[in-house]
Amino acid sequence: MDLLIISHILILILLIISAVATIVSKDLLHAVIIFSVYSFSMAITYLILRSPDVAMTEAAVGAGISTLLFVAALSKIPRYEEEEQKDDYSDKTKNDTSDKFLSS
Amino acid sequence: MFLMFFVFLLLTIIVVLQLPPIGDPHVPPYAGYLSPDTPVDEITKQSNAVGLYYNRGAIRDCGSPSAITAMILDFRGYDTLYETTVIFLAMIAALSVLVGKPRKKEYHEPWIGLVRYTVVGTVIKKIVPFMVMYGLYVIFHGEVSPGGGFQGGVILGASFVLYALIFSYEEGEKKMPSDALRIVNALGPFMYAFVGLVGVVTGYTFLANKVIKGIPHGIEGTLFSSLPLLLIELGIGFGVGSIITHVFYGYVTERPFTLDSPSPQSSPSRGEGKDEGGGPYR
Amino acid sequence: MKAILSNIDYVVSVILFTIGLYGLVFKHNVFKKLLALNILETSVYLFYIALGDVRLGRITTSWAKSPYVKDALAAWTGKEIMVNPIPTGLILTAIVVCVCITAFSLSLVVKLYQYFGTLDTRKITALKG
Repeated sequence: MDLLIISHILILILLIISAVATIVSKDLLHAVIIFSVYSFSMAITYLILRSPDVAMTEAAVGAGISTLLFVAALSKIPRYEEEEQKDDYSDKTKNDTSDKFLSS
Repeated sequence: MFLMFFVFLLLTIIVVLQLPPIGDPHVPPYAGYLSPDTPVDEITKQSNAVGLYYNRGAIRDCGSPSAITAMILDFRGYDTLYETTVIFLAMIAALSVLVGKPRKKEYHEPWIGLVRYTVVGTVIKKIVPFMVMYGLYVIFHGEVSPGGGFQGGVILGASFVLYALIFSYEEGEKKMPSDALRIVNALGPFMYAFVGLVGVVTGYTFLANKVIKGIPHGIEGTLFSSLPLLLIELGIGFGVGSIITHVFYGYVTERPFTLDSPSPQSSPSRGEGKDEGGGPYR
Repeated sequence: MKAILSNIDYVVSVILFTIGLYGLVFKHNVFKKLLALNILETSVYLFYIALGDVRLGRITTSWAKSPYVKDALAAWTGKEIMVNPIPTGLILTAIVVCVCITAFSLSLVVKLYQYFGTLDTRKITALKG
């Protein structure tokens, strides 16, 4: 087992871990950064599989342009996946149109 | 519901394990023997005759020694023509959705003029010329090494975007104005179609490369390997670079427009729009 | 186990496909769905590139003979073998299409947030009235 096969298997394990972490994380900025790690590991895998053209394209596009566009869009949308559960001080019964007091 | 995913995963893994081992040279998808004196009958009997032909005929029928560039730009050049058109169409679609007007000066943060004295500003000012040079290197060496038009174009565009990202958008706009970018955007499909039409005008087929007699064909194995390929790669490179920069400018100058009064006077491109957030659900 | 180790690129590609498909179906944020779509597409490219690989093959960029590869490959097969260039050309176009789809979809996501005020698909597609 020479070094190439060991590094190949380790990079594939890194791919799976970063893909799972992208889907699971709740902070969208964390997801985008881990996605760029995923894309870079994919570029290294293409290099081990003897396609330098595809490796260069994936490195430039995935770790460069795709991450850049995700972050540029992230500056205009809320950063957390679900809305935060704030303490709701507003009256929930304000728009309640059932006449509770008049009917009794 | 999750059970369906596990079943799908197990079934697909069982199916995929039946394929021949990766990288086995005794199995047909490899592209075969290297020696140029293999007879033609033995080639056409194999199931991957096309790959064999691209490997052997790259330097003979198209000038460039790299089989991949010769395949993309000459043997299968029609696909790459429409790939550049797809990039151009995506830019049109993205920019027509992101409607915006140039930012007013009052959107500046007060420290934006001092970025050039920080660590980030000093390093970026020294690095951006080398990034532009590396992008041009990858574009020009597309025929002899891995690289080519699209890869170099992405690196070139990323260097301009990096400059506009660290320093403010107005500084980037001064160095690379969007009025000039609007003309260079179309250079990808335009140059490709132009080179193709040269083949039609001189009497051969569309996208003909080495059969044309009146054009200087380059010296094989050098940077100037084939004149049509060089022109196509330059066009694709600069076109893709400016497309990426222009899309980033579109994300920066994007402003929400209101749907309450959709009359033309209140759209932001006329310069007098309201800067409130969007539609009836907010 | 030896069967999995010799086909490990295909197995990992299928696992990544399932992860991307799970994120596309089960996550409610539109931005997260776009990330999962990208993972889905790159897993397919890994499968395709792994089809065109030859161990100890020579990458076809010049006619100069590389001394490191020649002896090992000649000992294994008796000939010199070059890597198939066809998957590379197809995947280059596919990567370009993937980034174009991402760029356009992100502009639509930005406008979707400005129109609806939320990025939750349950709220956007909720029936009213």
